[in-house]
Amino acid sequence: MVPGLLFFIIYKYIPMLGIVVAFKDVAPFDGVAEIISAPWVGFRHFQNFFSSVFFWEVLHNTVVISLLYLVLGFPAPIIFALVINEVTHLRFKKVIQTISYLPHFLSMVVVAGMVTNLCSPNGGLINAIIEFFGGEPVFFLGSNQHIRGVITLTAIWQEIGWGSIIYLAALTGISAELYEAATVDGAGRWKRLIHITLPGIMPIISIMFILQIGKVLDAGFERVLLLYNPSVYQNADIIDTFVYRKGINELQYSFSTAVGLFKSVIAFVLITGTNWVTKKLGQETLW
Amino acid sequence: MKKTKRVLACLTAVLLLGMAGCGGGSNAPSEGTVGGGTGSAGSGVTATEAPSEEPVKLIYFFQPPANYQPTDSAVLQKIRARILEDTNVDVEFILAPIDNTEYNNKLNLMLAGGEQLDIFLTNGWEDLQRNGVLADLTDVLKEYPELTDVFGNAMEAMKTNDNKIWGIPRNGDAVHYPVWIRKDWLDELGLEVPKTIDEFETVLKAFKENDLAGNGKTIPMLTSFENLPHCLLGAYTENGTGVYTSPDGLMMPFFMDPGYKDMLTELNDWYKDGLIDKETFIYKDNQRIDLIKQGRVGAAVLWFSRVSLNEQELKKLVPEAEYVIASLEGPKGKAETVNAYARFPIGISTAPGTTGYVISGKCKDVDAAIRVLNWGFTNTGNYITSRYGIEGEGWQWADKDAGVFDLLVPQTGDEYCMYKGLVTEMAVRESISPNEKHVEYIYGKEIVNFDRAKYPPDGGIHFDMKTIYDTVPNVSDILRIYQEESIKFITGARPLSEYDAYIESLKKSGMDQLALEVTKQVEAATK
Repeated sequence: MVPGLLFFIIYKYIPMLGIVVAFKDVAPFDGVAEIISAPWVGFRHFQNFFSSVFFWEVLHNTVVISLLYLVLGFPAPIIFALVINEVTHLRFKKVIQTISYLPHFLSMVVVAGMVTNLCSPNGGLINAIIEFFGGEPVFFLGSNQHIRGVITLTAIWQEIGWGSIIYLAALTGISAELYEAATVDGAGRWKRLIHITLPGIMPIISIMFILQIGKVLDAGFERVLLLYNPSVYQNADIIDTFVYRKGINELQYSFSTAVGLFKSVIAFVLITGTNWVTKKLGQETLW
Repeated sequence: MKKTKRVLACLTAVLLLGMAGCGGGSNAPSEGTVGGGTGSAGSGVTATEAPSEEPVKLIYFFQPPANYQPTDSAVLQKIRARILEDTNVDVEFILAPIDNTEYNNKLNLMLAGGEQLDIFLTNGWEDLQRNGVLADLTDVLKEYPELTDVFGNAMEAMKTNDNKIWGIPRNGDAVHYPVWIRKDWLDELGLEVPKTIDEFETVLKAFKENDLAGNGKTIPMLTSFENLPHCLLGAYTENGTGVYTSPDGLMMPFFMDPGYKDMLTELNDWYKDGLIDKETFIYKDNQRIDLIKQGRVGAAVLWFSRVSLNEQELKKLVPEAEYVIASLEGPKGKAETVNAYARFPIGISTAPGTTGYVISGKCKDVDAAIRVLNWGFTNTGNYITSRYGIEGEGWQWADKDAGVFDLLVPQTGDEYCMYKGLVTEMAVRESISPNEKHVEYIYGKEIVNFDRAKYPPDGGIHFDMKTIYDTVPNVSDILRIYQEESIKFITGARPLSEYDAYIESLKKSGMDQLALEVTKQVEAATK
């Protein structure tokens, strides 16, 4: 346990001291000394962020993209696990599972490259199919209307297989006698799913849901960074990419730390609130 | 239990040692440093006093040129040894990305991470200086008058208002943004090189209709958002990308000129008609270069070297391919704007600021760094050596007075060339160049052909950006609104009927305060 504790202390807790950067005016080219000696500015960076014309846009994009992933991406591995669980041909089941896990191991850069090529209006496969059926090519990655869909679908495709593992494991924990008893009582496949399978994995679903809520402001930084461009900042720029550009491109370290801290506070409130609500509903919680 | 505790203790120790070892790893430089600036065609040897003490180790952050091919390592070792011999400085380079945005990102990350980076090129030294990143070169440069003399007026652009010098200029005033057109395609279609915007549009339509690249792969016009206004805006506005003066005498960024909307309207029509590549605003620079090399691009409305450094490569695929410059005019005159070395930077590029070679504030021996820069800038033989290797092995003089030399090796990667820029590249040339178009453009002095373009009224004025950022804290919002909304207007994602609402959003972000401050500074500078 000691190495684990040390890991968390050194890599998670000690770096929290860096939060002070959000309340100072720091250009960290002199490292920790600069952070210590920099002047305090209080909540100025937070005020600048809240008064920026992009504050609501960035927050809105973050919440919408996260909610899209929550609404579409959270059930997807569950449904996939339930479907896989119904497959009786063992070899086929294993092949499908393996193929579904593979995208998880691909680097995001590779995935973004594939998506960019597939969605290209100049010879991309998707537009080629659209044109084959008589339609006009769509510039998916340059269109504010489509960019969120592209980001969400990319995320689902990449994680659906890997995310289903934990549910498949939970499914194996449901007693086979319950299914036998239900079958004897005349329950069909659908009724067994509703009354045995889903309640059986509900504890896992609720724990995973709480954890997902905690990440609700984490709209997938790497994915968005690699797929977005200035044409679609309006609908795709999230808090993390905003912080990245302000901090790395524009050298506004203190400002970007303040924005990042704002995001963390909101996420903490959400996860605490969700845990409380889930407890009230009588389900499994984190604490 | 005891055994378990011992195992745990060992694991903990290993973990701690591992974490200690991971911290502060330095880059393994991959040889070579790039720098560039202008140097005079002097022939004097500049082996400055190299005391017989331990050599100084310096790191150079090398941004490869648009046509980068790595140099043979044996040649690189010899160049490195020559620099060491003449200056007592052992220079290593770290390879940086070609794309400017990626280059700046990596540079900022390495600087913030405390990596040793002593010499690097930046296109925004002012921001770095305000953040305390740069070394003050004022006193050191007094020991190298030949170096500062070489740059003349361009040195002013590297100074803050207190007359301190923060870097070595790469360029002076120059014309960097031509409209390149495929001459072979024009000849095949029986068209003349266009002289006006209307003729240019006709040419683009002809390129599209005739699909000379084949298989629907023709790109009539390729551009980038950063370069586009410099190439074309002068046709629609009085001052091109120079500051705009409103009827009530206030000066503000060029995109506030009503003529800017006219340019957007025209480009929107071209975009709808398929005359501009649909993905033109999302490509990275290396992707644009690939498209040019593939022979797909009819008109490249880009920074000059995207074409000039890659035409030779294109000719391997399409031997008859040739790009020429189209000097266009529009309702308000010449389309191109001179890239004045000192000017109001907002809107000029994504990382606004002046380009130059700078020394990190953490450099342990600034004098050694200047010694290295002086070595190449003030001696053309050394400049050529830094590119192609030792005289007699990599190159030799063909006509020393004219600055012409014979190349004895294939093209190199310029990893140690920290001296590229207007002065050096105008002073010397290869007798037969692997990049003839590039040599024609610079050595042939097309790069200072100011007749081709408009000179911005704020050219030569060095703005106090710190005051501007303090007065208008949301300047970066203004820049972002300008960039995002302009792209949307061009691509049709936002209708031009909302242009006035866009101007209002700029005003809400502080455009009025910005205009007041810019006017104040221009008036103070021109009094």
